[in-house]
Amino acid sequence: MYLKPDRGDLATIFHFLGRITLLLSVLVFLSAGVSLIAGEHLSALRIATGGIEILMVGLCLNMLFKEAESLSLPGSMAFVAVVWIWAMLLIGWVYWLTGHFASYTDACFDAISGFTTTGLALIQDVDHASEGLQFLRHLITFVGGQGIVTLFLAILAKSSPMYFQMYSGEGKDERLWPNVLHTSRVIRKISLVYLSAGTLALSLSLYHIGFTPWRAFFDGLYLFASSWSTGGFAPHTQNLLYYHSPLIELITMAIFVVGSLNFLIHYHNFTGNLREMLKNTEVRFFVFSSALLAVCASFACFNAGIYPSLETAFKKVFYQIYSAHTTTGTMTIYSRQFINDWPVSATLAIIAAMAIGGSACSTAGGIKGIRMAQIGKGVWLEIKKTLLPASALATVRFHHGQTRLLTPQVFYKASMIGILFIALYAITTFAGVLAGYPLLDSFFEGVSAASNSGLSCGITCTSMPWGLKVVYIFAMWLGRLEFLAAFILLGYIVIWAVGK
Amino acid sequence: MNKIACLVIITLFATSPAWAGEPVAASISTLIENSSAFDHREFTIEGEFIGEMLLNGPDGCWLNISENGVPIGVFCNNLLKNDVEKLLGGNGRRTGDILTIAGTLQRICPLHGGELDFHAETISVLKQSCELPESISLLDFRALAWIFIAAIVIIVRSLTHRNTESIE
Repeated sequence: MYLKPDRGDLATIFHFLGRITLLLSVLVFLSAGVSLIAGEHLSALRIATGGIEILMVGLCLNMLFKEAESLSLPGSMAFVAVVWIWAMLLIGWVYWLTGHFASYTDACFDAISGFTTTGLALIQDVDHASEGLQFLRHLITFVGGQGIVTLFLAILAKSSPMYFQMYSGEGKDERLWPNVLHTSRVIRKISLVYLSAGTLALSLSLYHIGFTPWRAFFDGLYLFASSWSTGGFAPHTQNLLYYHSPLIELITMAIFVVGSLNFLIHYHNFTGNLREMLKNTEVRFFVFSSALLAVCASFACFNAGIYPSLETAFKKVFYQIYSAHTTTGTMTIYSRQFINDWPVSATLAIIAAMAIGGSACSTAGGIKGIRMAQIGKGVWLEIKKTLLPASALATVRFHHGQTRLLTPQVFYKASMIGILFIALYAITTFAGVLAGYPLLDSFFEGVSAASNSGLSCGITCTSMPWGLKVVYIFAMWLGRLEFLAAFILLGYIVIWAVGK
Repeated sequence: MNKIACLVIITLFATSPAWAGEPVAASISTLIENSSAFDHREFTIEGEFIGEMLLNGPDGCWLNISENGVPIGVFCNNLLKNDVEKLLGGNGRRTGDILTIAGTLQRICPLHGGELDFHAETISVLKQSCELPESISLLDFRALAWIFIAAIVIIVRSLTHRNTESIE
C-alpha cells in the first residue's frame, strides 16, 4: 500500500512554490529595469506588470500555506517536477504580455525551452525584441542551467535533509560537498566566475568587430549565458551566423564545452586538482565520442561535395557536432541546410551527438556521457566474463571523482535512464511524423527537444501544430528532470486521487 | 535574311534579364531553400537591415538583411562601405532601412569559411528607418494601477500576518 500525501506535504510544496515565485518575480523586475534603462517604456511597463502579478501570486502562496518541518521523499520529488511547470506558466505569462508571441502556448514553449536550456525558440521577430525581453530570456536560460531548485537552495533555503532530495530530483545526484546547500553555493560561485570572464571575452570580441560598447556588453552577456548554460538562444534570428566572426564562434565553443562538463570537474579544477579531469571516465568518453562523430561527419560532408575543402568541412561540422554533443544548439549554418545540403550520414551524426548529450551534473541534457560509458563498460564486463576462465573474477572500473567498481546497480540505473531517453526520442519522432513531417526531420527535431539540445532543422516555428508544441514541451521537461521526479509527481497525483 | 533573323534572336536573348545575366528578384527564403540550384547566380533581394554593420577586417563589412523574418548575411566590399556606414539597422526601438541589394549568392563562400552568404554589388535604400511606435494604451495603465493597489494590500496583509505569527 502506498502512502497518501498528507496535508503538511502539500502545504510545504505550495509554500516553497510561493518562495520560488518570489524569486522569479525578482528576475522579472530586473528585466523590467533593463528595459527602463534602455528607454523602452512600454516594454518596461508590460514586463513590470507581469512581475507584479507574479509577486502577488508568490505572496498569496506564502501567506496561505505554512512550511512543515520535513517533506517526504515523494513530496520533494513532486515539488521539483512541479516547479519547472510552474515557472514555465509564470514566465510564459510575462512573455505573453510583451506581445512577441503568437499565443500563450508559444510563450510557454519558449519559457520551458529557456529553463531547460533547450534553445528551441517560438518568439516572433526576435531582432526587434526589447532589451528587457532579451535580458529575461537569457537570464532564464542561465538560471535554468544551474537548476531552478539549485538556485533556490543557494539563495533562500536553510539547511535541512529534505533539500538533498530536491537537489537530486533536478537531475543532479552528486554532491561536491557533504552539505547540499554548500554544493548549491559552489555551483553558483563557479557559474559567476565563468560569467565574468566569458562576458568580458565576448564583449571585447564584439566591440572589435564594430559593436557599440552598450551592444557589445549585452550581446556578450547573452551569448555567454546561452553558451555556458548550453542553451542555444541568441539575440538574433540568425543565431551565431549573425556575427560572421570565427573568433566569436571559437569563444562560444570553448564556453559551451566547458559549460557541459560536470560541476565536479570544475570544482576539482578550481581547487587545483587538474588530474581529475584527465582521469575522469566521462570526460574521456566525451573527447572520444565527439572527435569520432566530428571526423566522420566532416568526411561525409567533404565526400558528398558539400564543402570544397576538408578544412572548410572541419570548420563547419566540428562546431555543429560540439554544439549538438554539449546540447547547446547554437548554429553556424541555416536550419534547412541540415536536411537540404548535408548528407544523411552527417545529419545522423548530429542526431547521435544530441542523443548522447553532455556530462551528468552539468548544464547539459541528453543521456549523458557517464551513463553511456557505464553502459559500454557493462557490456564489456559481460564479454570479459565469457572470455575469462570460470574461476576468474571479472571486474570493470570507472573513474568519477574516485575510481569505482562497476556494480550491477550502477549498470542498471544507467541502462534504465538510457532506455527511457530512447523511448522519449521515439515518442517525439513519432509525434513529428504524425504531424505530417518527414521521418528524418521529425527524428532530428524530436531528439533535439528531448535531449534539450535546441538545434532545429526548421520544424519548430509558430505555424507548427499545437499538439506537437505540447509534446515538445513535455519532452523538454522530462529530459531535463531525467524522468524520475516527473514520474513520482505522476504517482503522487494518482495516489492522491485514489486515496491510498 | 537569315542573318537578320539571327541578329533579332540574339538581341532578344541578350536583352532578356534572365539570359543577359541581369539580377533576378528573389526572396531570401527561396534563395536559402534552393541554395544548391542558385549558387553563384546573381539576384536582387529586398529586406530590412537588422542590427549593426559588422567589420570584416580590412576586406569589407557585413550587413544582415531580413525579409519576412528570414535573414541572410550580406558581404559588402570596401567600395560599398561608405554607403553602408550611413545605413540604420533595426532593433528593439526602430525598424531598419529597407534595402534593395543586387549581388551574387554563395552557397559555400570560399572567402568566409564556407558560409552561405550574399555578396553585394549595389545597394539602394527603398525606405528609411523609423522609430517603432510606443503606444501605451489606457489598458496598460489601468492594469498596472489595479495590480499595484492589489500588491500593496497583499504586502500589508503579508507583513501583518508575519507579525501576528511572531507574536504567537
